[in-house]
Amino acid sequence: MIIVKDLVKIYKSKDKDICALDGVCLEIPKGQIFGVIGLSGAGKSSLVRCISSIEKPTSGEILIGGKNISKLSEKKLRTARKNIGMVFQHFNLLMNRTVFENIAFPLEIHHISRSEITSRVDELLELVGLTDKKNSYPATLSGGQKQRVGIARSLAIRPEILICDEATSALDPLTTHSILSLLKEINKKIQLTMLVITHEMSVIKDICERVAVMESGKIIEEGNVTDVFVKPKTALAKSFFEDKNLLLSHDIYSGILTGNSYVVKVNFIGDNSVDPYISNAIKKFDVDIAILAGNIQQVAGTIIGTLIIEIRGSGEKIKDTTSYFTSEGLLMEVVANDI
Amino acid sequence: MTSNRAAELKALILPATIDTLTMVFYSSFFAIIIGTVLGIVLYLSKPGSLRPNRFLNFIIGAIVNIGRSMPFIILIIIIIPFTKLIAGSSIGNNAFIVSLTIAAIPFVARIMEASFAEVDSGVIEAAKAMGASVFQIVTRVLLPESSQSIISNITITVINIVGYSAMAGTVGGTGLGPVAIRYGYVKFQADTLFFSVLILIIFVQLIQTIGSYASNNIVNLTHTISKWVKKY
Ligand SMILES: Nc1ncnc2c1ncn2[C@@H]1O[C@H](COP(=O)(O)OP(=O)(O)OP(=O)(O)O)[C@@H](O)[C@H]1O
Ligand SMILES: [Mg+2]
Repeated sequence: MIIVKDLVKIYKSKDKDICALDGVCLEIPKGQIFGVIGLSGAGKSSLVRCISSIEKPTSGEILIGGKNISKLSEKKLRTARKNIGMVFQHFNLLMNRTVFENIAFPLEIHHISRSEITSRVDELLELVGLTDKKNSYPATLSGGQKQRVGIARSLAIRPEILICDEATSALDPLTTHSILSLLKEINKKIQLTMLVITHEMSVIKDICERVAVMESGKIIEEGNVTDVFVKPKTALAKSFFEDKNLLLSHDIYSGILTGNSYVVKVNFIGDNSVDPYISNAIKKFDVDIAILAGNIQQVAGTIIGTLIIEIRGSGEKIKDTTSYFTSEGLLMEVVANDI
Repeated sequence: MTSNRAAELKALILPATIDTLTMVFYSSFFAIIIGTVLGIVLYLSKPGSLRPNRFLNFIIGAIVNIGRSMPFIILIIIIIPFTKLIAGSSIGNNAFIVSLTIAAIPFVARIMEASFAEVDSGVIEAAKAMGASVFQIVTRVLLPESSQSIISNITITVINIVGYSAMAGTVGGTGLGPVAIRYGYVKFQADTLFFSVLILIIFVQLIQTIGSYASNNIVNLTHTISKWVKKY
């Protein structure tokens, strides 16, 4: 469980102060995968560095497992850090240590016995599927393999919290997918609370349950991933989550309006996505429906279908159709109309 | 060359070789230890580093810079009182070891600092995030991760010390340098000059070869050694 209250971080430099975090509040329950998305410079890494207490916050509170870590002495902090595992964008492995020794590093730091280290590292190697690379050096591994070592290392001292700062940003899409699956599998297996930082929408979509959108040191939008995905409120969230393939530009659809018609975007979520609403509407209200664009995808484990349709008919009938869709719990948005 | 002359040369050059070796060994040893400690302090006290301390960094930095900009011969003279204190006398081989060490320390400190700076800051941050203490970071991250570069730099240092050792004569010290100067240059004994210089060249060549090998194989070497230590 992570609770962040009014977190402020100001970097002081000679000519001007940079406010990297401007009153951030978060609450991540145990076992949840929480995503933070934002553009470069939004303050994501600063947030991570404060939570992992690499950096001291200017003000605000951070509670991890109920313990207020912003008030601990350096010595107590070192022990508190055992509770937090970190996975880094650039892996940050020790180049002069083998895979085994890299994973053993945090265990050595906390004075775990040799025999215990050996069995724990072997266990972790198996978990991340790198048993055969045990004695290799990081320089000889691929990016995905390096990140697997990074993940194994971060889990070595059995933390309750795992923080991934752009853990897949240096990897290709296929490798990203395999690393994300691994993270999700680990999350399920050991009820790990995870904070996932990214600038890639696909990462949020694939593994997060909740998401916060960050801009200039503030969380400007927060919610369940499916909600933010289908109904982004802020412009930034829209730019991240809106499906670019569906070309939701008003201009394009206004151009093809045939008179007496609406162009609407309909989202089918979860179980909804399989019911025949379109044909029902055509039968019920005597309207014509043309399908302009559509897709279906999985977001945070939920199926989300999106259709852009043009409803043709009299104004009355179109109104009936749209209220039918809404009453069935479909999310609907009028993109263009010429009535 | 008569066998008589050969014996004479041997009597002259063999002890001189041992003297040079001894002086280079001791001064390298002390300079590397003290210089490494100073290098670590310089690294840790830098702004934004693990133990930032502007004052300490400035003072040590300034002393190191002054030491490095001082011509060796002048340094020898300036530190005479200190040399006397440590070596008991301001002349002779022990006194020269002190001078050599003092001259090499600032050099070692700077190159160590530079070697540490090459270590990826992300790795340091990772260690810190895992709860490593500053001591653990130095011994388990900083030193091992920069070991290749440290060894190359130490090789250069030792070679420089061999060069400086030729000036032992200035404080009445012995060794190949003084022999080459006194017999080879002043007394025109070309063979003495030739052999002293030859041995110095072999020294340097040897140090470079060992240094390069160690630098390239340090990881395997430390592994072999630690395995060996664990076994016994
Ligand atoms: N150590 C520092 N000193 C001064 N300013 C900093 C420091 N670290 C970050 N900043 C500034 O704080 C702001 C937030 O940076 P941060 O690294 O948290 O962004 P980010 O969201 O992680 O970006 P990215 O996606 O590029 O990693 C930026 O304007 C950055 O320049
Ligand atoms: Mg960042």
